[in-house]
Amino acid sequence: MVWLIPEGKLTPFITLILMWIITLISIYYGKKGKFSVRRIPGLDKIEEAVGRAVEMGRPIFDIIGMGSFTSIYAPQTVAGLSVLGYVSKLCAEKGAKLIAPQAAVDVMPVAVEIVRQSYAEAGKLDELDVDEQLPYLSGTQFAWASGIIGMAARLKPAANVMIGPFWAESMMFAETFARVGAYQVAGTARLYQLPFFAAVADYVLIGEEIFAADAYLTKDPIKIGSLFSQDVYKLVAIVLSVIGALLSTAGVTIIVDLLKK
Amino acid sequence: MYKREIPLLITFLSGVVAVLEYYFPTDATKNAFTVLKNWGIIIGAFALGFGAVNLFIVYGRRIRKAPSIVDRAFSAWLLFLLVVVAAVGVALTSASDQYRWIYNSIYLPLGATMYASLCFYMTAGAYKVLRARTLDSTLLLITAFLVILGNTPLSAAIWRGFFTWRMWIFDVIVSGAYRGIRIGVGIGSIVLGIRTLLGMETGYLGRR
Amino acid sequence: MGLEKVGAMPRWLVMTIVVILMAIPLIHPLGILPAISESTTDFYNAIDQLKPGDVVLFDIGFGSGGYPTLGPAAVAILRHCFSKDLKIVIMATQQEGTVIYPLLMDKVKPEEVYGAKYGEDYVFLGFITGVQTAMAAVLGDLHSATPKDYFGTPIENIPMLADIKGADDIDVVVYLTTAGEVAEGWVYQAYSRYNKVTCGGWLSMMTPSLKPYYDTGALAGMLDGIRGAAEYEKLIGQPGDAMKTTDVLNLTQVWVLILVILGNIAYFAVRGKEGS
Repeated sequence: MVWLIPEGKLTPFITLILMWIITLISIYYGKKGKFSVRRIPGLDKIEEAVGRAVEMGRPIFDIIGMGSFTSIYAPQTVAGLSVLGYVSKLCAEKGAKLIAPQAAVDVMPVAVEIVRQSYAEAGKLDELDVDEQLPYLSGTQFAWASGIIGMAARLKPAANVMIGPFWAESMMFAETFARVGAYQVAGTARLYQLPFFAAVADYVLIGEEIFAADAYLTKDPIKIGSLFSQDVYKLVAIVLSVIGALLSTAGVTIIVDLLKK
Repeated sequence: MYKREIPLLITFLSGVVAVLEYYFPTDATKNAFTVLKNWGIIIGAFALGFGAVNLFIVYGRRIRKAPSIVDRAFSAWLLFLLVVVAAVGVALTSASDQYRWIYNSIYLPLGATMYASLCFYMTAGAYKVLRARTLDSTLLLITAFLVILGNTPLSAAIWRGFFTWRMWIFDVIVSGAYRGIRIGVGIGSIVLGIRTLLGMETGYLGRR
Repeated sequence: MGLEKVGAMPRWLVMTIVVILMAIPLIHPLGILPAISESTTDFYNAIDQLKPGDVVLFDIGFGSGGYPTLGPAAVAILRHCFSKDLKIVIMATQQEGTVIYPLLMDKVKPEEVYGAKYGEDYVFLGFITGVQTAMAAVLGDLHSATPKDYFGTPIENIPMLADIKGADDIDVVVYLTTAGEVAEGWVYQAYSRYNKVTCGGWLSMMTPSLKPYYDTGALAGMLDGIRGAAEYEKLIGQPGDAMKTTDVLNLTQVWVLILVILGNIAYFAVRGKEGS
């Protein structure tokens, strides 16, 4: 089978297999409760944000971005949905009004199902108005952006949670919600938008932190175990980068050549 | 079972086909993946209808119940335009002069205006945020100041050094940090993918 | 007015000044020429060193939102390509690219200005869905990727495409985009897979993330937002919309700098008062 792999994909393939094995081992040890997760302040603050919405009697927004399940941003959308599940659960339990506008038609039914499930578990399904609380605005970037800006200006939410893939609309959202006095937790793995969130939001989840959200919020030992494997890979990446840089400086390209195979 | 096991099995099989197509691009894997992608497109088209239905429900309700006449009028206007654009696009195709007129005269200026309005958001954001409150924010302030100076053609024309400083910040500080974040994001995505294929990540199924 | 009041400058005043500063250069261009960066020069050289008849694959990877920034860049690059008698295969990896195409051609005027003929010197394949799948398909087998051009003419009836079948027949890949997926996609598909000379242009805010590809040589040249477009206009000696917009950039960014300074003066004035 290996001869079928085109040039340049052998090392990635072997790496992927190794990653599967290490992840499974980490999950095994995770089940035994061997690992714990460091604090992620941005995620801790979500509960506070929902509480703030309840106290102020204003809604809370949860925006998962306009990524779809079929683009390379799907992992970020999945992370956003995980956080939506958590936020909707808190909203249902505490009685905050959740507003989660939608932009991707393939993601919307899933988001609706997640929120409905949260309200059902809290026995408050009758308090959920899906059409008003999870409205479909538009799949076009600035139509969707202006829709949310308008809603934020009219409803003056107490808080805004934005986790998922975001594009140029990120600054518009962050600044508009800041202007109406909303407490903001924002996170994305899209590097272009991180600076905007970092500058304006109250708490920021940087890059891969959003992928850890589900494990962190559910405290599921299996998921926490898989997070440990993530750290192992990062360590390997750091070691490879340092050794590779030193060797390249000395004119030895063995690591670069290996990665190109 | 149909709510959990079957969707998980579909996810696993689709994921395996995608991985196989990438690493073993034979005719069989390519064809299988193409079929999957086509299914995705068809399901996406159905989902588009779901979005349109939601728009009609929400704005139809607002036309009937909104307290303000302005809200009612805007809601009606939105639905009217939705029908007009969809009808022109379907009946005359997007290459027609009529559709192109709608795009060039309405959509393009609106899109460009919204994009240009970012300038206002950024100006307001910079004014409010870039203050030397703490050590971190002072560093951010200094860096932002140098980058804006270097990015402004006028200052770079006065003294090219501003431009050189900006490039140094980009090449050394920003590139280094971004590469680190990028590697972390890549690894995070892969682990999330593995969890999803193993059926341990079920957030996307609509239940936790 | 106390210094601390400077920090509470009303939003409407800040914005009104932005509008005025934007309007001035549009009414009366200042004509400040930008310093030309190495990355733009490399982009220009990648096109300039081609011989008449060489093939450029040009991707319109943006829509209405990106048009004010990337439209002028596209016009400048296309003018450069037509002036050198290159064969240009134009495609769109973003759906809106099909409506951007006529806007660009209205400005470039290939037939009137350069005597170019559609189908012989340039062709528009239209929007090809799938982003990286589309790129891979066009570079792999252009004729299978899209059996007809955007206007419905079968590919086999388009003379210039008789000899252009895939990556081997393409000399330079050029793309302009607002989408990160497109910007990185061309690096993977054109450079990594086929080792093609690849040049990309995008919005300024994307530069920090994408510049490593230029630094490592994966991209032969890059255009950094409207500033890059203005530099390109300067290089081809045809000042256009980008130069005008650069003037806007000059004035508004100076205003931002002033605001940052004022904001900090006010902040320290308030802190000083609270301290005393």
